[in-house]
Amino acid sequence: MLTKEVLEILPNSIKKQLEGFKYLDKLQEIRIKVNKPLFLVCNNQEYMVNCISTAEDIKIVLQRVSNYSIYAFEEEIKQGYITIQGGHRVGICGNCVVDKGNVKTIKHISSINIRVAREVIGCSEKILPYIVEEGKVLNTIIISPPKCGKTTILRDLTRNISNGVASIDLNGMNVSVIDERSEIGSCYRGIPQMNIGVRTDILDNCPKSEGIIMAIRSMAPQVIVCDEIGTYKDIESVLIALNSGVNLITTIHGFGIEDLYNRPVFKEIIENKVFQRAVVLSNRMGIATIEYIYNFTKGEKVRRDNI
Amino acid sequence: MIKSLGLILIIVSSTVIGYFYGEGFRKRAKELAELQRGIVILRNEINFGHALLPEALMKVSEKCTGSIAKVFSYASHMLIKNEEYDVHRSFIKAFEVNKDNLSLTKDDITIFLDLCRTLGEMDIEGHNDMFSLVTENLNKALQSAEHNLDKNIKMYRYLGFSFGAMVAIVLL
Repeated sequence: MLTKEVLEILPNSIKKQLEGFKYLDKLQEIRIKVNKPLFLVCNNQEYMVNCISTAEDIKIVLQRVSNYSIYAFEEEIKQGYITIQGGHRVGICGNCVVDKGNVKTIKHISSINIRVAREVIGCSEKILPYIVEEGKVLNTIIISPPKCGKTTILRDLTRNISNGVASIDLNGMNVSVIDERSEIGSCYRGIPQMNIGVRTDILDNCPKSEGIIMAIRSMAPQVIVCDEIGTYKDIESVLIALNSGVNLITTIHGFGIEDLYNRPVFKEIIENKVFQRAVVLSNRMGIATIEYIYNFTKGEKVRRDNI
Repeated sequence: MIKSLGLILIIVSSTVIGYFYGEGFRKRAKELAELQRGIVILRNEINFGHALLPEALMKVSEKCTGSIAKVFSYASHMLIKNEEYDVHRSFIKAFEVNKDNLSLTKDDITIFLDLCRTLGEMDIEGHNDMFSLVTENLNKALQSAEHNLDKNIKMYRYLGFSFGAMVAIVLL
């Protein structure tokens, strides 16, 4: 059954359409556009529902998503999404108001994409033995194209490291998550809606470059987890974290470790031999297919068939 | 004896009616002042607490008194339960449900409902402008209510007694 939190934000006209939909339990996305039919995505397949949405429908969704308080979501709207209870993300598009080169707000919102959050508990279990050595977490980078499950894997890794895994002699560790886009913990009012472990502290909506330093100063973490590093400021903070003796797990967009070597921004972390392992994902055989795990120390790849 | 009792009853009941009619003016002024206080609390909740509107309205209802507190509380519940599509409609319903206990005039309610048309739909700066405008309009309404209060409360009390006494004299 589709979660209550998602149904509650929908206007009655759309809710009625969904009630009769047979793949409701596998729903991934609901796309609503003004004067256009409703689109549903289930099991990576798109379904068009013959129900034309109106501007009033969008307004109702927006009112409910923001709890009738748009003023409290100004920063989220600038970024183009609002996270609702349950960790589901509501993406918004419309007319951007730009001030001094930055998006100030979005007005005349004309389309909404509700992405249903699902966590896959246990999806990192195959990876975990490769990134833990003698009870210590190795600095790891997950490399994957979009929509291949890197954030889902990262979330499950966080949960496992935080809770501890007896089978690989990993004791629970203090983990700090720097969740710049609210994707790892899917926080709603600061509380993670996903299971990210008992020893995890989360800095939600916080820029990575600042969050890493803040976490080191305030929470004394053993492991820092963050998603999608890619700017020089991020790299600078990563190096500070490593100099402080904190281990790091992070992700980048890419198709293989070549992407790490080819992009100038990562030059410094390559030179400093920051990472010990790279996990490369694809969706070749379903979401989160592990292509290979790369050992930077030995310079060898462990292929999917051997994992 | 019975006739005397009947005449006294007429005078007393007429005085009481006059008294309560006059009290309506006092109650209106009190409710307008309470509504103004509610707006100040709401403004602070939005400006400094960044509280979500249903919660902010609930806090206002906890800090206000009488029928105004009930109006804010009702609107807050409507929003929490998503029973109405917007804030304006929620407050229309809240005033409708509590109308028997309110002494506000239709114009007073309209001033507040004007604020509700945009409440929650603007940025904080926009809200502050609207709060200032509505507070100014409520001030004018309050001044007029206080003027009417001074002028009418005694008049209706005396009128009640005088009317009762007049009927009693005619019946005598």
